Amino acid sequence: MFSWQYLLMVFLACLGIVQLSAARSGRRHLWLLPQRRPVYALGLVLLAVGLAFFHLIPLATTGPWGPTDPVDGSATWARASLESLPGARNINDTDGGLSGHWQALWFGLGWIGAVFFARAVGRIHRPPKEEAGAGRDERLPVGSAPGGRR
Amino acid sequence: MISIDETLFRWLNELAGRSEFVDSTVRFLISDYVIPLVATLAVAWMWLAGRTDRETDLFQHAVLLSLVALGICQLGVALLNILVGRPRPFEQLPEVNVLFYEPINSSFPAHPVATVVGLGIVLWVVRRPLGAMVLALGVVLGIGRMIAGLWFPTDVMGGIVIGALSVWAGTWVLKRLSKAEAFIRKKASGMGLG
Repeated sequence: MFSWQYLLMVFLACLGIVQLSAARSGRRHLWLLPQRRPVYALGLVLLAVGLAFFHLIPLATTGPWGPTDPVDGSATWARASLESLPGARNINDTDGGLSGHWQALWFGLGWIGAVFFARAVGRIHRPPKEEAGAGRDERLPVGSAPGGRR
Repeated sequence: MISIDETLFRWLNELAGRSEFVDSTVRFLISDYVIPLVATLAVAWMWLAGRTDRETDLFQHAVLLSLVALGICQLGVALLNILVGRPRPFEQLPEVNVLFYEPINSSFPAHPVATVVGLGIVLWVVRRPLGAMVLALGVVLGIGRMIAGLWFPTDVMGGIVIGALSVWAGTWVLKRLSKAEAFIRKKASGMGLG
């Protein structure tokens, strides 16, 4: 359960990051929307929703974020309260949390999934024939790209 | 050195347990799923963010350097965990305020700090504002986990040194893997992801 919630968070956050970076670089074939500004906005929303989902879901679902067992010190299975929410995800991997290796694996999967999802959706409003000749939409000298700075 | 380490640790750790607001903020910021994740997302952003060919080259090289440096960092931390095996502050000192789960691995070096600092240094080289933000978050993580009773100051300093050395070693390794780097970037470009 913890893994799936983490995977969903990184997928959404990575999709947001893909939108933000693709909007900046003009890689239109990865845009989920046809215009640059909405793509930026969508990127920020996806990033925020992904992070908020993961950190707020303990309020709504039961998990290993209940009060600490007074006998053996382990986490009990319950819903988090508002007071315990900031530390709800602080769970040792031996008690149901995720080890660094699993985090790295899920992050990699989330990133790959987000990129290919963006590419698939991007094809809907940008046919493959048009996409083949396109990378970035503006190949400008360094430092002269619109709406940004180096 | 030990007394300075312990004194500094005590000074920071005494900030815990005084205010629910401070404790909650620290608990959130030192999570495994906040600062390390933000640092990783910042690196991931760079892969597709280059506006020009030159910027894309620079950014994608930095992403690959981050990956190599991360691998070296994990190896270095794992080796030092075995060699040093330092008990956590709450295991060796009386009356420590603990705001986090009690990890069972070595206190030295501070693993997440090494990771975040390593990524922050790479970002700093190619994009100063982003690198500065990630390095600042690394410092927040280090201080936060000292307040939470998990690390001594020397553990955090060790993490910073390991992170920096990993980037240095990663640069050396990546120079010798230029063919592999070119292959990865060519494949990504061929898939429309370069």
